[in-house]
Amino acid sequence: MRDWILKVENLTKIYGDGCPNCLKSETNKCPFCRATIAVNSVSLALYSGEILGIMGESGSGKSTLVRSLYFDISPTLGEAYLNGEERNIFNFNSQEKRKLRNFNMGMVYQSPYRGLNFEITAGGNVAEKLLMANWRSYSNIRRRLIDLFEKTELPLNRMDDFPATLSGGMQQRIQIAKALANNPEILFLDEPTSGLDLSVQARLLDLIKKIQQELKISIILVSHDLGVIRLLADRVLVMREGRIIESGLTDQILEDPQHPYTQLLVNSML
Amino acid sequence: MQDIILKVRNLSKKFNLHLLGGKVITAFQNASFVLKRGEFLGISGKSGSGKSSLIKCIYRTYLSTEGEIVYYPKNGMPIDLARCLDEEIIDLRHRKIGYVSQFFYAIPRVSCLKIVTQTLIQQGVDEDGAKRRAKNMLLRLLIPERLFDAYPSTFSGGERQRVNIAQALVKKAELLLLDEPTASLDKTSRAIVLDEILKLKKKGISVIGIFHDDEELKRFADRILVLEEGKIKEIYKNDKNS
Ligand SMILES: Nc1ncnc2c1ncn2[C@@H]1O[C@H](COP(=O)(O)OP(=O)(O)OP(=O)(O)O)[C@@H](O)[C@H]1O
Ligand SMILES: [Mg+2]
Ligand SMILES: [Zn+2]
Repeated sequence: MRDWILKVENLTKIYGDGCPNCLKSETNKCPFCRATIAVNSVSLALYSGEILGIMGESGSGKSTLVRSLYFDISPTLGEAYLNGEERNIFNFNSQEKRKLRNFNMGMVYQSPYRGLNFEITAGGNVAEKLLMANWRSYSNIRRRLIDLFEKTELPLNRMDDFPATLSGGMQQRIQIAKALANNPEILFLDEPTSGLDLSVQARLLDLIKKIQQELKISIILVSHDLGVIRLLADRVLVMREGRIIESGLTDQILEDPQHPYTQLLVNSML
Repeated sequence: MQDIILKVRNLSKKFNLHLLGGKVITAFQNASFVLKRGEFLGISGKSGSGKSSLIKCIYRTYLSTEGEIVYYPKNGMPIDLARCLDEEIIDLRHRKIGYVSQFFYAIPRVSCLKIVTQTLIQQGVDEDGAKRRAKNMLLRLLIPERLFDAYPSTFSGGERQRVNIAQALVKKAELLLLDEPTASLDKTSRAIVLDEILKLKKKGISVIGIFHDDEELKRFADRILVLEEGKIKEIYKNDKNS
């Protein structure tokens, strides 16, 4: 069996002061203190080389969960472990976190405005990630950029263009190139294809699949689109009101969902 | 004592349809039987009697409601397919258990050769070997070379089903689950598919199969399990096949 690579235990993110009743709240608004429990006691394991899908409606906490794991957000409670490292990564100091983020993880955001710096060129965006991982030689960086542009099927002659002049599909490819720059073990994809034309979406999904197969990278994929989940994910977690309400093999979740909410979701989308 | 590969005990599958006010539908209940290593167990029964659900529970596309499905791999510890981790099922699907579904979901934009090659790579076969074996299997199932790079989502029903069969048969699983594999095939390709299944059986692969044609079932099955309204009515030895 495949080894686990990332384990998360009881991850919770509360916006607001919080109170002792927050975690017992059925919804993500605590009835006692009005705080928002964006993620409530989530535990999961990501296995090496798999694509783990996270689905759920808008506001269910999917993005907060992956952004916490990428250290964009600091969780209120909970632990996360990488295989072979005994300390909770949320207790790492900021330098250690930066190192994990730069060397071990990659992130693609739904919005390119969050994932890219629009003040610098497409190539510059990817190079930035290399510089953060201590790449110094200009010619090596240049070679790596060409390599990454080819891998993500980006035209080389757009390398010196600014993100704003590129299509939505290309902007996402730049995010992917950037995320892959330092050969991370874990990739977080937060709605990487939403808002794009169907044909652009399809090509991007194929690219993700190809990259996953070639690099054997482990991926957490957030999507509310069942088609995307079915195409890419081996397993799925279903989130609602900050909690995981159901998890299973992708075909099982689609054909035999257990939770009323998942049944509704699957039935309304097929 | 005869070597056993699968022991199903008191297995039930109920669907709780929350959208219909919690209506409960029983697909099958209290199913108990064993599958011997190398045996071909046929399942027969009317439409709606629970045949596909039983196979899907074994493959874990459906979650069993009660009971257990203990799988005894040739090497390794017994494992309850009804309750084990999803990750363990994925591993078994990659290496040990093959499945031909009644309705094939062809992944869009993946070539037919790639689909079959990929199942072998997942099993640990190297890329060149996987490609060679995949090509062989496709050709044996009468998929012409000119279709290798095409997408099964654009194929005819029969061609698509043969790709489905190819990806299940090529990997020489220990346990093969067949849900009406030949239903959408014409006479020629049907004979060829049946021939390939027979070859696997001779190699000692254990099979549980649903065939909509009783003749076909009787040609292969060592024993036949009859389902009636979700209950096992009988399991009898098939004398025609010896
Ligand atoms: N910075 C914040 N401050 C306050 N509440 C927040 C904040 N970020 C998220 N939330 C709330 O937390 C909940 C979960 O939000 P999150 O963005 O994680 O949902 P999501 O599942 O990713 O939704 P979508 O599918 O719309 O992207 C929502 O109620 C949201 O309003
Ligand atoms: Mg989101
Ligand atoms: Zn509270």
